[in-house]
Amino acid sequence: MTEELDGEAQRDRTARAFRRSDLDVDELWMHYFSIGGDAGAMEIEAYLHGSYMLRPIQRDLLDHALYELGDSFGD
Amino acid sequence: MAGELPEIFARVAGLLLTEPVVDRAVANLAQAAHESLPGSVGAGGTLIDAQGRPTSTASTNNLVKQADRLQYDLGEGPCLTAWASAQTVRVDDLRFDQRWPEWARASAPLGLLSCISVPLLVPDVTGSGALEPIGALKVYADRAHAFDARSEQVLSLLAGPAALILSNLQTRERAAQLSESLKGALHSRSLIDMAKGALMERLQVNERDALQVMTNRARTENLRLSVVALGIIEPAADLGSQAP
Repeated sequence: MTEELDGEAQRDRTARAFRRSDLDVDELWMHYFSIGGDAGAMEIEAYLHGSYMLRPIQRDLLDHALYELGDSFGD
Repeated sequence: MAGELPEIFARVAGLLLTEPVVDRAVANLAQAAHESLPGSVGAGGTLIDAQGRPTSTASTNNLVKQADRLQYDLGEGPCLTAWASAQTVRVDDLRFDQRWPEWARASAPLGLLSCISVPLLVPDVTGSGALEPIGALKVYADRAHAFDARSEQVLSLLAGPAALILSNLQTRERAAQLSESLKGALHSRSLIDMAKGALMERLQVNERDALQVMTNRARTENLRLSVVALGIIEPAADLGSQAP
């Protein structure tokens, strides 16, 4: 039950961060895939729209992909 | 004028078909538009993605470049309207045109008084027969009423075949880019998988925790996850010198 709540809270945070970014789903998916993500681009899109749930590790990977593509990450 | 059209066609087709790079093809198209319309002080071409962001732009001179940049910064202007509406847009005298107040004010110092902008249209990917705008081609003049319906026609005739060729070039370029980024993605992916497996065994943790160790390190040290992964697989590697 806490697992479910955590998942939804994480999803909301990620979806908000994604909307603030200037990225499209394909860009985000490609990076997520490159760091080990297994879900497809359509699943990612549905997740960001709040109509699909990803497994915990996939949620973490998506968060990290968004972080690496974001402005606060400098190389 | 009618006699010149086949020549213009041949020239555009020749220029674009022999040009392997989208950016340079757009530049050639802008140059051809500039030379085909008497009164033009400069022309430009822009390819615009589905989000309304310009992906390739080319201008024959700096005035056009500045006028264009203002449009995309302000989010309004004749080219964006031509692209969004898939219709030709003609401005006869910018001083009396009310359609894009902000852009008109900002671009007034450039001294461009009239312009035509035509959409670059290609058949929709769904095959519905609808036309999809992929960008715009525009010509500017420094006097009012420099262009008429005839100029619109010439520019539209140029834009037709050019749009098809540019769209094909774009598709080819995207496919090449995609295969490059896929190669990179697969490499980074396998590094990260290996490192995750190594950590799971070393630290006796589950997959999610192993990933957490890696993402924490990546964030603390401001490194890419793939670089952190490489450091785990090859502990001797000098992290500072690893390119991401």
